[in-house]
Amino acid sequence: MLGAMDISASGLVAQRIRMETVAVNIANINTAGTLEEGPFRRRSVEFKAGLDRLDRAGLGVHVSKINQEDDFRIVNMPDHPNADAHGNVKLPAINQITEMVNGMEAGRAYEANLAAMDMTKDMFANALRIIA
Amino acid sequence: MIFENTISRGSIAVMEKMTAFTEERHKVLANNIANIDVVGYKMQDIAADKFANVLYSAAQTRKTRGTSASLQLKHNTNFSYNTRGHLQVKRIEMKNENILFHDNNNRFIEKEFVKMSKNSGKHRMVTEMLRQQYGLLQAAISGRV
Repeated sequence: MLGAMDISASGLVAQRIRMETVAVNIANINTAGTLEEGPFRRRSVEFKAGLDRLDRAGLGVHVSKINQEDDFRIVNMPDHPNADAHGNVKLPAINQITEMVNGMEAGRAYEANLAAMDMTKDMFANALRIIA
Repeated sequence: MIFENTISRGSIAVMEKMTAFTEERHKVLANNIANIDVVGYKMQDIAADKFANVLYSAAQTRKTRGTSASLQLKHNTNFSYNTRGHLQVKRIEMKNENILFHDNNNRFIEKEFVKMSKNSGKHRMVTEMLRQQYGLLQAAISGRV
């Protein structure tokens, strides 16, 4: 039964990392960067089953990779320092609404994992009442 | 002699050692949580499963030596008793797995909380059992039920 708490904790960690990438994406929605490096690249997380990379049992979840996507959108801003000959600037392809929805999903998933952990703790406390 | 026999033999000795161990572990985990934002801090823990094994084998050897023998933990690198009889545990640094922060360490506060919760659950269970044992002793001494 106490293993269930580890599984819930791994869910909490994974959702929190996902929330962090959402926050980074929203914060950098207009980061054009430099001409050499290019604009900020949208981050996304990949989840995999298992408590960590070496876990074969597949119980729990962990973040296996944080992707940085190479997509961008082009906006015409002739006065921008990064503007090319046509006055176009490359900005990150981050949609605020998409990020907000991802963030809400991550928040709800975090709450769900917390609720599962509360139930596990209650079960353990009830089992303790047998001897107390 | 009689009083020492009742509290330092039997299951009470085992449970007292377990209580001391869970309290030590609580200190280490609380230290982890307090230092969670410190750059370069490596998470520490103590070998909880090894302690369970050591305690179990000590109880088994005590059985072979008779019921009046005292509980003695075998010497090992992780656990020892200092001259005042307090439990000393070796703090082990956690291995890093998965995605790391910039200082090449990882920190998951939720996992530390869960470890703490499990540890305090064990502590509560052992304390409850101790309470019951002392209650039995009291009933035996007072002669009433």
